[in-house]
Amino acid sequence: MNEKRTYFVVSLIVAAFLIVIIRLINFQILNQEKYLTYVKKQYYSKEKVIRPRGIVFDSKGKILAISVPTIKIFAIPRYVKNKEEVAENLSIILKKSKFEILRKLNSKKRYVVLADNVDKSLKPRIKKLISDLKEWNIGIVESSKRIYPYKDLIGNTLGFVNRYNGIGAEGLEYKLNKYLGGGFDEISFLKDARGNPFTIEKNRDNNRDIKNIYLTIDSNIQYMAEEALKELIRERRPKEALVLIVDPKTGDILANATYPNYDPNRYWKYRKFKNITFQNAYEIGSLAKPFVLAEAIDENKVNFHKRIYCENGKIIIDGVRIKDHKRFKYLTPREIIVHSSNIGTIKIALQLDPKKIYQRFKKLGFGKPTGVFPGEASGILREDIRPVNVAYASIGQSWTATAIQVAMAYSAIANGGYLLKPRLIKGYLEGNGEIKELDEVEIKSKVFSDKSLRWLRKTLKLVVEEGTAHSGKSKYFTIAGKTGTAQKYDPKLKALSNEKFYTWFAGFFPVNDPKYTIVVFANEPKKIRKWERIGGGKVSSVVMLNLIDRLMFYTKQKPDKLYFTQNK
Amino acid sequence: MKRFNYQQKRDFATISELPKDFKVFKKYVKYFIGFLVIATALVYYSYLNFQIEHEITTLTKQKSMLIAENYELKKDITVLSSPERIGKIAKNKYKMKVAPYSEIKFIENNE
Repeated sequence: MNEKRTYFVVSLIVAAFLIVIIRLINFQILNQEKYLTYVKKQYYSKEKVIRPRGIVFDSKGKILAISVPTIKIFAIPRYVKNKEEVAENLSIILKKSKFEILRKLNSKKRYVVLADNVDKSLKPRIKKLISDLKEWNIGIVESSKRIYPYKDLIGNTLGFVNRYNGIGAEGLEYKLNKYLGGGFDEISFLKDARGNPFTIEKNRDNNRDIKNIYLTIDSNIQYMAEEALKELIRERRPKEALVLIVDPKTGDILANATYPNYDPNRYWKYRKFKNITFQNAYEIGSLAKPFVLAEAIDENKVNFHKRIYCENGKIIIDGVRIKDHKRFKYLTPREIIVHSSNIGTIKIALQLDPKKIYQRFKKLGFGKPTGVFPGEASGILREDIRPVNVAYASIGQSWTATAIQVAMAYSAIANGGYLLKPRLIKGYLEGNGEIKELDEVEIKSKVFSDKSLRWLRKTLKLVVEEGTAHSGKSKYFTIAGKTGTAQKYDPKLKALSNEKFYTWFAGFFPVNDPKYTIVVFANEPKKIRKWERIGGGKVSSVVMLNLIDRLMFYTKQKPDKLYFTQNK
Repeated sequence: MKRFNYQQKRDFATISELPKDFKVFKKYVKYFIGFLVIATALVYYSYLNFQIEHEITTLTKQKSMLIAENYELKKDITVLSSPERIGKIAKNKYKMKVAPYSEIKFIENNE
């Protein structure tokens, strides 16, 4: 009987242990994650701190954007014993008002941020203060601050990082979120039974792979472009303006100076963040004429020696009167481009298959975004084969393009007829110090025949030497380009304005071995003199005179103009 | 004959068993010593570990501070070498200007 009782008691004890073990297996192994989450929810509250992002370098290795480690000082006011003393000592270290710190310490919030983005070198002093005063409810958490050392230089191309969530919100910072990292880290506060946090615990995840990015931008060229642009703005007071410099052989964007611009360090003080080079499309005016002539050459519809009657400056098509900026009579196709005759170009365009003109524009990359920048505009290019619309399209009215599309189309003239994909990002820095390319040089297609290229190069050189862009020509370097002036639509007049224009210059230099493609644009530039006629040549000349020689000097280029080299 | 009570009998029994116990103890003493040596080694190892860990923590903190300082310095270098600042110093302090190409001599490199 006794033995039976003993077995019974023992089996009861074993069963009890088994139950406990099974429960433990359930808690610790089978549903571990679930119960850990409960515990964390019950015992911890969370606060977010900004994680550092990768560095953005220019093509020469100069820093354009960097995340500098900082510290954030927290307090749990309810448990801070001697608030007065804490405020006084912290105010000395942080060089902040004592009353401001005291006000925060006296608040009824569960926890407060006493100071954000504090220089990390102050950390040991603050730690010592915490330990001297035995105020364990003041905590330090590491954070980071995005800094753009060149301020507004290339500001709106770089974009900015949202200061609250540490994620790229505009421009390249937005586009490169995947590589640069950033965002939040979470820190945990241990809660008491009433839910009040009483200890700060750090909980960092440093394993995220962040990359340092190299751009194609050269900050020195960018600075030169911005200086030249400032001259244009001072002289002409346009609503918007830009200077874009591209390497025609690789499609690398070397500089993109735009107005309006902003300082990404203080982005919240600005309202407009658009980068007009990529995100706005405008009518390109006479910049379209060389493309029409190229199509005419390829279709064998143009005789270089035959003079075309330019109707003395006026033509009526489908009942619509189109005017020239001068009363031209007879001009050769070359003279039509050099002097930018609308009517001459329209007459050539009307001999061509209208669909092929639009196809040519599309082949040149117009009507679709290049994909180099976030939120890029595509421009509007609608095929309309009515003669009046073909006429307007041939002179760059009634359709729009972005400055980057224009730059790539003119780069194609410079590089032997190849349309390239523009590049802003060179690559990212690998562990071994080498740059791994993100976007390789990409040739989309050959868009000009060799015959049309030979003709275009000669003609565009003449445009700068003796045509509409002559006021911007260099003494030392040959430049090929085309000016463009597009009338803006005036909603008050319900017609094209004779006072408001988009002015353009697009070209490349030196002509025989082009190193740079340049696009200069201004929206509604003002007249310097009352009698002056606004035009792409005159408006852009200030940029060309200030920029081209300086740029060539920077890259140690020898002048290529014949008379200069002979004199030397 | 002297009679012994129960307690005294137990004491005698214990005393008579002592040499037996001691023999057993003697037999295992080397194991005890071995255990003690291992335990001391473990404690010392743990102490060393703690020391190294402490050193690593201190060095990690130092590294983190140096990284922060390095970033700060990198930023400062960039600010100081900015084209805008250098351009201003060149123009205003040293009265420099962009050299016209007419005054530049080009040396041909025939190598």
